[in-house]
Amino acid sequence: MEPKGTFLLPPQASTIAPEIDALYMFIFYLSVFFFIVITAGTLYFAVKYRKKEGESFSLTSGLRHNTKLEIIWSVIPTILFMIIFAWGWKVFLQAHAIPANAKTIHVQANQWAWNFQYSTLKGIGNSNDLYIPVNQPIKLSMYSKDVIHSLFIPDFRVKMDALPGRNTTLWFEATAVGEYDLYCTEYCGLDHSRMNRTVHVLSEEDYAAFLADVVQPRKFDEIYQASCRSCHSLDGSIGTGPTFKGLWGRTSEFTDGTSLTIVGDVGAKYIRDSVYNPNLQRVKGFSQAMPTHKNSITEEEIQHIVDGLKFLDQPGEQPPSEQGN
Amino acid sequence: MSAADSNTNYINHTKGIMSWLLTVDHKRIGLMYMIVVLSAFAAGGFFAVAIRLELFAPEMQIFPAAPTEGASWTYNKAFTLHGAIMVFLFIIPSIPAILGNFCLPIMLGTKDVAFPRLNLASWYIYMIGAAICLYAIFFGNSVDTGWTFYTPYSTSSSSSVTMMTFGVFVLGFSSILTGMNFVVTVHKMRAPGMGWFEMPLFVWGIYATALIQILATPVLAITLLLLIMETTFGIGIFDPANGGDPVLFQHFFWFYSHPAVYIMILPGMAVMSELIAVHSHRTIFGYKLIAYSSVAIAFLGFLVWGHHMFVSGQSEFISLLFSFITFLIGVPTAIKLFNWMTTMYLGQISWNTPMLYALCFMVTFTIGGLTGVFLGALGMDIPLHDTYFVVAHFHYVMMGGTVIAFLGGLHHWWPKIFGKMYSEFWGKIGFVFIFLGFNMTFFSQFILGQQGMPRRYADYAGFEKTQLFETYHQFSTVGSLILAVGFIIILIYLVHSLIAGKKAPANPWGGLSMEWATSSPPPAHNFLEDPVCKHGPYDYDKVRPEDI
Ligand code: HEC
Ligand SMILES: [Cu+2]
Ligand SMILES: [Cu+2]
Repeated sequence: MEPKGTFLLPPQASTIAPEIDALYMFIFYLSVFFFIVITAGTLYFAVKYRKKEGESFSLTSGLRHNTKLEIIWSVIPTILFMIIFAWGWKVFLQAHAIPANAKTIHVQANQWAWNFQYSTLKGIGNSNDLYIPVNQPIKLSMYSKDVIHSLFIPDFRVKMDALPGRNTTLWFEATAVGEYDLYCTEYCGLDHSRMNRTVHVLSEEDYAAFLADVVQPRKFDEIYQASCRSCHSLDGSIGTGPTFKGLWGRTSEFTDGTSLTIVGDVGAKYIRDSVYNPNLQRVKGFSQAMPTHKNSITEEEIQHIVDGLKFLDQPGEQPPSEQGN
Repeated sequence: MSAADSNTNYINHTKGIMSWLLTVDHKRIGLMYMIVVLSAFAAGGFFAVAIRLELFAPEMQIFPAAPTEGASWTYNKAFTLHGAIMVFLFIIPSIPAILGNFCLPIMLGTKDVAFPRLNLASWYIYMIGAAICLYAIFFGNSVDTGWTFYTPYSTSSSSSVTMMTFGVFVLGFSSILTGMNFVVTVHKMRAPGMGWFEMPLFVWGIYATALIQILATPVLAITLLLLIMETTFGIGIFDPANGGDPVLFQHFFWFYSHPAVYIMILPGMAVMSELIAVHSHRTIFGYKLIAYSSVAIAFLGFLVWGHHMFVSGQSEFISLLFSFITFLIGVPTAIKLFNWMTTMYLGQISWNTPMLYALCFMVTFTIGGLTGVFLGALGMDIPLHDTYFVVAHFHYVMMGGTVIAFLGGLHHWWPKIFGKMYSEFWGKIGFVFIFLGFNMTFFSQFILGQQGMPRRYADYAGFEKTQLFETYHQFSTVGSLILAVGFIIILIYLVHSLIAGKKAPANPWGGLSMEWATSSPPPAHNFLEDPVCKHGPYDYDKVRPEDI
């Protein structure tokens, strides 16, 4: 169930919201008290000492000081201010102390859109609305591509500017499944007021389903850059492992004396084995350095690797793929 | 030494337009400021009403969603001009340039300010600055950056930012020169017998303001110059792509603009001290504390600029310091409120229009101050920053404080300035409209902001919270119309008083400071005989008004 707001404050949908609201209520009650003191005092005197119609001016009280009174009304506000200051500081620190287990979502702001990027072991996904799991600390790592923007989720009581050329972070833990407004609160030009989106707080299962849906398998270049480049070259030079140049169609000789020509389905299966189970067969002249990638590369991505290796030497026929990195 | 029998005064002793345009009389210059500064207020008010009408309902109402061939106006330009005009062309010069110019020398018992020609030059510089701004608005592409001109948006905007900031740059010199003039006047031109603590508190407040004008405005000039160089030559000091710092501009800007908040409010407080003391007919309680608080506020005002930037990614430690000093500044402000309240105790209080505005100030400025406490508290500022809560807060301070005090001061000194009494009846009617309209317009905005409504939004359609926002926006818009009617009523009866108002006596309120000792309107040289200060400005326990 989505939480309800009150007349004064919006719904509390994050762990920090009740902390901030407690401070709000403290200042609120104090303010009401002092407002009544000043307004009532002023009105009372204004009525009590009102000059009567037609009355002429007379000499009035010469009371210019009252040290006790003056000390009281300097010291009491000072003490209260210091309490509020310290409390504000405490909450501020809480709002800034990012838990170690927070999941990172990368945020890119630009005129006039938000882009949220989710990276998992299976790849990277993007969305324009923000999707997060409930009861899980989330860290937003933000930057802007152009002017300054600011990410604000009222029901979470969080806000942070997204700056060009500098990273800022923000964290929160949503406490209730539901949909919440997300606004840009730093004026950023024409469509500033349309730079708003929805935050979808999902249950753990729904979030997993969302990720499975949105996360795209990576293309060969991306995988190569991220996981293979340190050992396999593309230009023919020998590294820790054999070069990928000319791999498709080549015949590999193994330490157990057998050999295999990397073509067709056999070739594809061999590449899959090399990635998942590299020490099944070891290429002659190389160490056992290659680790298994069972947990970091999906079956779909294997297909991309095979395609990538196949077309490596025929740039003209390369399958369309985004440049990684 | 009343000069009531003499029929020549500063208004009629010479005639012809040139006798005004080339005048070096501080009173006439004050009146010339009154005409242009109040015109600026009307223009800013026009945009305010346009903004409120746009926000009456979700979806675009009166402005196009985007500029088109024929109509280049957008909501963003309207709120920018509302802010820029109100801040730079209206509030900053309002009390100092109009009431300060008129009253300060007379209250000090002197013939004029220290540098009368420089005073006239300030007016012309103001006019040139205003003309440049007008040119940018009507012949350029206007501005859509917000009155804060934040980079990098302002350097990438296609509107006439350079021209507009140049206009503001020029306006700044007017402010600096007026400030210098007042400081020297206060130091050097006081009537014989008037020590620092025999000065009216109005003078103290204007003096503290003048100090800030001199010290802070040059920083604005430097900032705007850098901004102009950034847009024109791409020097890259604010642009991260060229190794610049994306938030440096904000630091520079608020280094001026936070003190500028006190340039705006200290004169309001200065007027308040006069209104409360004179119309309560009672010596001011805690004179020295009020005077020293003005100076303390002026000084501390330089050290709190970072409280505008708690969510800008600035270091947490710096935010801590800024928050701390912000709370320190609350103390002298609170002290002033208590002092004014206590001044009414055992007084003889006239419920006339100026006093009603003073009472209103006690209510509205208190709300403005208390809501500042929310924003100064670090953690609390996070959800409130850049929402309507901030908009409401600073309108309660700037309008509920300064503008209300200005209206009170205008009514208070109107008989002195023009020698005519306005209609007390219509004065009260006007006040009721202003009080109701103001609170309706802006109190609803506190709720809007707390509920999350961001400021500077042209539209709020399609949110989860649209319906909630709409209710309060409608309330606020209705309030703003009532407020507008209030101002029109005031304009009408004040102008009417010039034509048909009763002749004002020299001292209609029974005040004791020196301006009430000369005729209304004062003679060209303020006093027929050189005045001597024989008693304090608030010695209502010792001196009767007839004896001054
Ligand atoms: C830490 C170094 C290392 C990394 C990282 C690495 N490999 Fe290897 N790889 C090797 C070595 C050493 C061999 C040769 C020994 C063997 O066959 O196990 C090899 C062999 C291979 C072979 C067989 C080559 C042939 O000539 O028959 C393939 C295919 C292969 N790797 C694919 C990959 C892919 C795809 C990745 C990235 C996902 C990758 N490797 C990452 C070290 C590495
Ligand atoms: Cu934005
Ligand atoms: Cu924005």
